[in-house]
Amino acid sequence: MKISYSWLQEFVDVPYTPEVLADKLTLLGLEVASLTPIGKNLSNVVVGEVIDLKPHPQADKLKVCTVAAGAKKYNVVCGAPNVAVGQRVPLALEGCVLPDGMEIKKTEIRGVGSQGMICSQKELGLGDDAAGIMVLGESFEPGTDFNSAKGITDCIFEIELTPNRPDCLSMTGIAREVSILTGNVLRYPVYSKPEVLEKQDDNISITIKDPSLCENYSAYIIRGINVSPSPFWLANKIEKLGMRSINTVVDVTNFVLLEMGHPLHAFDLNKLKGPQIIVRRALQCEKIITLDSKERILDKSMLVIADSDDPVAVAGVMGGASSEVSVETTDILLEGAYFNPVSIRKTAKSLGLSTEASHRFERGTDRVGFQKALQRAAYLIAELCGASSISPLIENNALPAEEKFIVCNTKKISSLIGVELSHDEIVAFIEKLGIDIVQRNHENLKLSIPSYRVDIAIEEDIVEEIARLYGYDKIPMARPGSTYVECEVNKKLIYSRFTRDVLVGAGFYETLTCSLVSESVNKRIPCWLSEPNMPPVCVQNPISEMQKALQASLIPNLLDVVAVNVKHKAEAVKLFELGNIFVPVSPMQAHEKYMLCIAVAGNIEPASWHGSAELWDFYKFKGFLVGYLDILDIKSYMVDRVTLEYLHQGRSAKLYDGDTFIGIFGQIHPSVAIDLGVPENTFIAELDAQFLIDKMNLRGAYSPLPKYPAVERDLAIVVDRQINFQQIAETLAMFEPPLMEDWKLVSLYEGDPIPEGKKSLSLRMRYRSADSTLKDEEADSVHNDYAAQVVRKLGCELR
Amino acid sequence: MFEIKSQISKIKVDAESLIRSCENKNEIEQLRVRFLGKKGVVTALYKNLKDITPEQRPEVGDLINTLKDEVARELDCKQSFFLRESLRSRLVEEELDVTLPGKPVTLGRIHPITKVLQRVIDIFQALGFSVAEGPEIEKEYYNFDALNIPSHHPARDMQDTFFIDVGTLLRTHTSPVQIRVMENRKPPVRVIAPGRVYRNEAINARSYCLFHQVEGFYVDKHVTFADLKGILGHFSREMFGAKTAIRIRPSYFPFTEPSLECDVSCFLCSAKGCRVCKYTGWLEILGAGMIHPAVLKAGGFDPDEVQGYAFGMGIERTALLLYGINDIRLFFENDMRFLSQF
Ligand SMILES: [Zn+2]
Repeated sequence: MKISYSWLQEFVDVPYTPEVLADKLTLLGLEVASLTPIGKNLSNVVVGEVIDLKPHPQADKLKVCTVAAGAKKYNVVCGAPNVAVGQRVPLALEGCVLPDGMEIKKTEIRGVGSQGMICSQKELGLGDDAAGIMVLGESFEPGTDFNSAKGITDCIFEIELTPNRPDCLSMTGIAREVSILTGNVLRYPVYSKPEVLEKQDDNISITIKDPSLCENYSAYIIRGINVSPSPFWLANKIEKLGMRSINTVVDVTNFVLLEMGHPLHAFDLNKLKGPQIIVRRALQCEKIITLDSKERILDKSMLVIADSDDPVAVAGVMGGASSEVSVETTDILLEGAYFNPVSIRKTAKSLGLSTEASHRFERGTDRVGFQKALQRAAYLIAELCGASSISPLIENNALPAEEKFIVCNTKKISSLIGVELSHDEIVAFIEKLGIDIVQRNHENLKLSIPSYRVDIAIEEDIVEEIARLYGYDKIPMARPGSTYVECEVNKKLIYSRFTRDVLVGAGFYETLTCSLVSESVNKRIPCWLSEPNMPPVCVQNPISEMQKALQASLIPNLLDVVAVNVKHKAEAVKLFELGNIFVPVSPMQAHEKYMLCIAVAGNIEPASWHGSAELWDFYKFKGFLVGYLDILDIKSYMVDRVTLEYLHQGRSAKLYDGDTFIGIFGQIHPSVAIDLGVPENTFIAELDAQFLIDKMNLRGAYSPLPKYPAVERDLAIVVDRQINFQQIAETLAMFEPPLMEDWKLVSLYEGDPIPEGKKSLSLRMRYRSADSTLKDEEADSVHNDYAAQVVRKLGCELR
Repeated sequence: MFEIKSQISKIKVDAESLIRSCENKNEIEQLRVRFLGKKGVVTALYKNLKDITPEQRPEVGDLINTLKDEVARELDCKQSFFLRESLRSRLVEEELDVTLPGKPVTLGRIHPITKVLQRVIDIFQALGFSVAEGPEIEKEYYNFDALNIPSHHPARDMQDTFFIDVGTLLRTHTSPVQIRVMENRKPPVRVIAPGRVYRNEAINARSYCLFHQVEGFYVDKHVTFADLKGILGHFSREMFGAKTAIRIRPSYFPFTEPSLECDVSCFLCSAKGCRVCKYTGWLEILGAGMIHPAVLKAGGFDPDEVQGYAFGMGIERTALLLYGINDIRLFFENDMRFLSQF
């Protein structure tokens, strides 16, 4: 909302510069977002009066004006379409530099001398109107300095009001806050009844069908008016605050809106059928063309102002075109009302139409004070438009406003703020706020809340007001954290930190990607945890197709990150992300699962002058994953082949523990690699982090180190190629002798001289006794028996 | 007897001079064979012992033994000299250009958002706050209604919302965790709730459709506005430096009353005024207030018995300010050239 510094001075003495006022208002909770000075540094601009006008001999569109400024007369060539004899205008003379940098000089325009320039609002930096020259009011005395005339230089504040303070959505609202702050008197607009016939019997029927949506509807009938362009002072005031000047009637309603904060509307009375006013809900599919020339289709939740036949306005949002005030209008009905905020908001939302009026009505207007604004506007219109008569206030007060009371306790106020404020201090603050104390009972006060403070509803609201006036900056800082409150261990947090540290130490970069993805992503890379063909859960109102679906896997985004970095010539890409995925269980329901996703591509380390770099391969990646699980002390899992369309079918695997699917890993499918523009040796893993959190043991466990040396024995076997390593490992486990400590695969070989369809493995077993040094013969005997059992079970040959 | 004695002395002199003039390891080995080998000169002396009277044998035997030891020592000495020499030359040959680049061993990076988030969590954990989390797909009730933001309240405009279904949405803040925690615990509670939140906003340099937030709250019998101010001051100094000042000013959030916005003195320009702080010297980083009685009630707490404060901050915003980054999208692009800077 915009506020004019010079206009503000009409309502309260402001003892501060604009900059200081901006700080004060901000600290009072009315955040000033910007300050824009206007009309500064305009020297050598005078008020002139156009006393003669001749066509330019050489150019049809130009005119040669004689402009009088006091005793002096100037010849000025002007091209504005609206220049006319008798106008008072701003005349820039030699030496003036306009805000856009243009310097005024005596010059010759197509053969005719010109001693200055008559300026438009825009040229003077006073507004956006560049259509014609600025025409000043009668209050501007020709020959005087334009700059020092009232209302020309100003400072416009842009205030970002929070939605709870509709009472500040006006000049007088802000003036009230300044008055509370400074203690200076607030001067509400002063106006008097115009010298116009008050036609006592001029009346119109007002019906309110649903008082819960419209408590009070009031109006004036003003007849015999002459609708014309607004005088300078009026147009200037509303234009400075960002409104367009249209005509006297519309401008006055906007002026009063800005001044007193209450939206008003004027109807052309002769276009209202009946004439009568019915405040009712719209019929289903009833139509209205609003002032912006758009047809609006209404429904029965919306409130309209109707005449005897049709809606003539969407209540509190926008008027209808059919009853719009125009230059032909002679009689008007000026409306002021209190509408239900929720109803106005719903209507504005569903019509997609937010106006100055709806903005205020939906935040809550002054249900008592609006009649003052209505009267102010009616009198002003009657005066400015030369009305022949005005009616008394016509009113339907369907639901009289109730006075609002709050009981508060000064001890509690003091205790919530945490500052020792005495009872009397608090009372003084309350009085300063203009809140009446209607009852006093020791610490308890009964307060009557002014109708414009719609936000004050409970005791805590009074606390805020008092804290605000006392000064948030003066409240002391208590020392934090003195009381003991039982703490909860957060295993997820511990896991996440540990994992980040481990992975970062292993050379991985942490990434964070957008949880909202394109729906098509899921088709290419579906969630391995959901039922097949289950679509991802989507938001109903996406910003774009690209951010529509909730990611059902971290893999697609992480692969995109690989691609981005490969594109930027990163040589060794090692990435991970910890985050939630949304496993769809039905079209609008998903389980949130915390996952760890890891991706690697290309070189393990960047190539350097030392020679070719080592590349990632399946076993290196698997080795890394196993190492990671090992440091979490997670050992109870199995690995098996898995088929996923986006992974290389021969180089992808799942991790599982019984029936629990822990994760997947493998090389991405070569065609996916081509599509994404990533290296063929790109590997990806996605693990269920919640499983890891549940199973991890970061505490560690101690067992004594062995005292006696170990003995190693090798076993070389030739087995069928189809027998996988897991089967061999299971067989070894089956016959494991007590003295065996460990075993490992030391080599794997296929090809000559090993027969076709076979492979050769050498295994190295380590034997150790806990209580003596193992003798060679003992080890031989144990090993030979073990080897024999394994060979027999596997049906393989010793080599 | 005399003969053998002079023989011993001669051998000794010969050996010493030969060993001295030795030029390499091989020659030492040859001398070792010549003197001490099975058919060596010294070994031969022992055979001559039988020609000596038994009375004189021990004396001569000792002389031969001494000779043997001395020759062996001389040989060893010379040998180790050659070893040292060869090692020395090898070390010279093995010299490297130590200024050449090493073989790359890259270490990873923690994401800047995580870094800031962890810092915030650390500060509050040290003050005795627990860490709680809630779902990202949230019930409209927890996200709005329970937080004193009824339907059709203008405050809902403050947070553009993504809807999933009727009554279900992507949470717009982590404040719903406040209610969820209160529902499951008895006062006193002192909790922070970090997490991802969503806003239906166009993606550009200043805004993104999601960000990370930390919400914190403390409910107990006598928690005051001054306590809140204390915690904000402490946090700001820990986070932005010991000299950081805070400025708090009234604001509005439906779930707190009184409400405030907290600014910290601009750490980019030492509060002198710069482009980022819009020449005010202050940076807005945090919203807070005393928990609204309606919110305490919604969480099952009795507002006549307990009171509390709550605060919330955006991590991306803080990170943008801390690092002087001007485009929020960089955080979600994950360009390693960007990530490697943190
Ligand atoms: Zn600054």
